[in-house]
Amino acid sequence: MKSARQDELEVNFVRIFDAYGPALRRLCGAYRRDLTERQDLLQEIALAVWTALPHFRGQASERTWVYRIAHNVAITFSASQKRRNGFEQSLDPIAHDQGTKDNSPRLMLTEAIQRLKPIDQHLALLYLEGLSGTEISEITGLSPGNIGVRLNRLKHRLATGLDRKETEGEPTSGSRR
Amino acid sequence: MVNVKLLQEKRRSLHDFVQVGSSNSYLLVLSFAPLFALGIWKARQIALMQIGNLIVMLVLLAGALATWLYQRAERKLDQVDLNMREFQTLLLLFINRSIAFTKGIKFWFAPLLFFGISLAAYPALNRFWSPLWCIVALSLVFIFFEYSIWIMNDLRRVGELQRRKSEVERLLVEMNESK
Repeated sequence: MKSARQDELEVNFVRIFDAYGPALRRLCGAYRRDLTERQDLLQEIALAVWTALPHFRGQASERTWVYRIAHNVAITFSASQKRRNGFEQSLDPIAHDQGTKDNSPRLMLTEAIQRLKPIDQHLALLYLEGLSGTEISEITGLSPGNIGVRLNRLKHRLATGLDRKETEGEPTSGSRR
Repeated sequence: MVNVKLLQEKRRSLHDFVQVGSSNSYLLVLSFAPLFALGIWKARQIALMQIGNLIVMLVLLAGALATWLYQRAERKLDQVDLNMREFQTLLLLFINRSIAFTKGIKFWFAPLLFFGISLAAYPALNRFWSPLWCIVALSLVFIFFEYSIWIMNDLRRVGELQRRKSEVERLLVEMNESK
């Protein structure tokens, strides 16, 4: 017999995953190339959220709480997979998704993000999900000032990287962020 | 989408990242202690065997306690909802502890355990060999024992933990960079 508390947890859990599932899937897609590993990572994140949910008391917003868990699990998962696979598997092109058409600006952006240092990759992913500097600060533990400086540098670096791709003759369409 | 029941049955966790042994390894260690307690009683005619069995039993109990305390500390890794910097710092702390714990096995656990086993086995060996050959044989077995532990712990396990440590440290250094 399930208790009312257990029911409440399940309802909350399903609600959280309905709300943040697409963002978490994008995160998993950015971290892992292989579809099976992405599903595995998503399940690891789900398990971590499920485990942490009874202890969540609203100390942070639900959004930052979910992203904290997701990024902590993704970092650890990637490190474990790297050891298992025996080679570096950093962020991988989203274009490897099944059924996704080749989307050049998106691919170029992902490749540009891959060339960043790990912490800058996390910042770029969080920024691209539309999180504010304050939210990113709560997720990463970096100061808001530090976040601001890093994001400005990141935007410049990514823009330079994309410009360089254009001048090299890579096709691009759509507007850049 | 995610199946709640599946999650409840799923066993994998972040602990895989720093796990030293199975999650209930202290129970396995503890399960052998009664055998040596029985050995103390059975060897009541031979003092050396009794002392040897007693030492082994005490070392197993101490090992089980140390493992249990270690695994209790490991549960702090459930705080996966900390911010990234805090979580990596906690992870680093735990990895350092794991390295010290794993390296320590060959210094305090293995020699004491082997000393107890040697004392318990010596009277039996002495029936067939001279004392000198008993000591030589036990010494060779001890060297092999320590070498095996060195291969399993220091080379593999500690090496693995050192690699994880450098990854975590690298991320923390990047986070602390202001430029």
